[in-house]
Amino acid sequence: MNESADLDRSEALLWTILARFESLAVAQYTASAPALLTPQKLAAVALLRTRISDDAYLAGSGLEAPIDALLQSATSSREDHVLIAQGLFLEAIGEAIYRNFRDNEATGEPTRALCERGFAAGARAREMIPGLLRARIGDGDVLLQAIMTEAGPLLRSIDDLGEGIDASFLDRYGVSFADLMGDAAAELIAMCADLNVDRRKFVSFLTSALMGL
Amino acid sequence: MNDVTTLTAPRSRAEQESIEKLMALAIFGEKVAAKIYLLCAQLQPEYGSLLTTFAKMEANHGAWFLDVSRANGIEPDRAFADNELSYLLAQVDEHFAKRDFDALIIVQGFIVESLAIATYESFLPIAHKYAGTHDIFQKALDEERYHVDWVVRYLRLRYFDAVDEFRRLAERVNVQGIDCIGGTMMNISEYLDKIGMSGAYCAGAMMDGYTRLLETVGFEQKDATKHVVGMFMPLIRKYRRGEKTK
Repeated sequence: MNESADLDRSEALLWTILARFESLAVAQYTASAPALLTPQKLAAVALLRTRISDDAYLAGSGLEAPIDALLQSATSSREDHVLIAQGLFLEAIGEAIYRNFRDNEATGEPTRALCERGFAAGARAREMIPGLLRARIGDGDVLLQAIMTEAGPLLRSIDDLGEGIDASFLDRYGVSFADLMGDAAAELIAMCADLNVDRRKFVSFLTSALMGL
Repeated sequence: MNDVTTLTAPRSRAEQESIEKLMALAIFGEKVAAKIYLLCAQLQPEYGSLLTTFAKMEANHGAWFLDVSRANGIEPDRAFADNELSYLLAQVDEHFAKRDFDALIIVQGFIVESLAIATYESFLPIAHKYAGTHDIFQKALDEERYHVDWVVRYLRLRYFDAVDEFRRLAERVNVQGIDCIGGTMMNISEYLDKIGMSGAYCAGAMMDGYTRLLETVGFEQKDATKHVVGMFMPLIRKYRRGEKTK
């Protein structure tokens, strides 16, 4: 961990979580989806590495095990899995985190700058992912079936983050797990609708997986 | 609607108890819906005749469901329904005491109807298991959709060029309304599963249906989704933990 006078403990925890997300993205994109290893993504990771070099702020916190489980569920060398679990779902969740902390008066300037950069990286990925999914898997019901297979475990494990997110960020930043999931779901539903995925079926899948079914 | 043939197919105890809870909620929920439309009629005499007709339609649904339950050897679990509906009735009384017609019409026309439509739609494919239910649920579903169409038209006119005002109203009403009706959706999920439906699919259909209604009155799609998912997430999390929502 690099010492940083202008990051307090809660923001350092946020940086550590984002560093875990983005490190996994870089590793998986490098191995299986190099088109998504964009300059914007690399810039976000470079900024994270100026402050965060290990998991010290996450270790022992209530978020350590849920983050480990979430990222484990998103890890694979298969391209379909990487495009869906990482490219579609984790990017949408990351984007929700970046947006909520970027547009937040309680957030310090370094964190806002990070979130600006991370959000830009997510936006670039969002532009590219529909084309990659269409080319690799297809759209409509075929894509929905693949999403149900590849993203189900990730969604079923995400609920365990709720308590830790609320405990760490709700009082000070007004950011709740429900807010983040609402943001991420809104983005995912819009993207999937553009990919001809039936909206009712997709929402029902999301609901079912979040219910742990 | 009264010529229901008596026919009781063998059912497991779990299915029997589940259908007794679900039919009770349908029967007494329709009676509450009738009450809400009557209260709305009192608050807005301009629409009094129409809303009184809606109330009669809802009361008829309840009566049909009771008849068909008896014909199928289903004894509605009134205590379960009362427990689920008491929170809703408290909200309704509160809105009525404030003469808040628009809040009442959102609770009934959007939130309660979204639950009814999502579950009745999903019930139809399995209705053959309960003699005489398909036609009456189909008719009830058609009539609920008609009510919702009117509510959408009313709200679009009322809040034409005043979407921010509608947004504030919906957000205020939803805090309790979704907690209550969405909570009921979560509480009945396991019973829906036990009679051969999917509680999770119904919950998703309710969320999607409600989101679309907000969109028709002026919410942006992402905004509506974020709002509705954000309201349902605490309920989903309670479900995950095996906690009842109320």
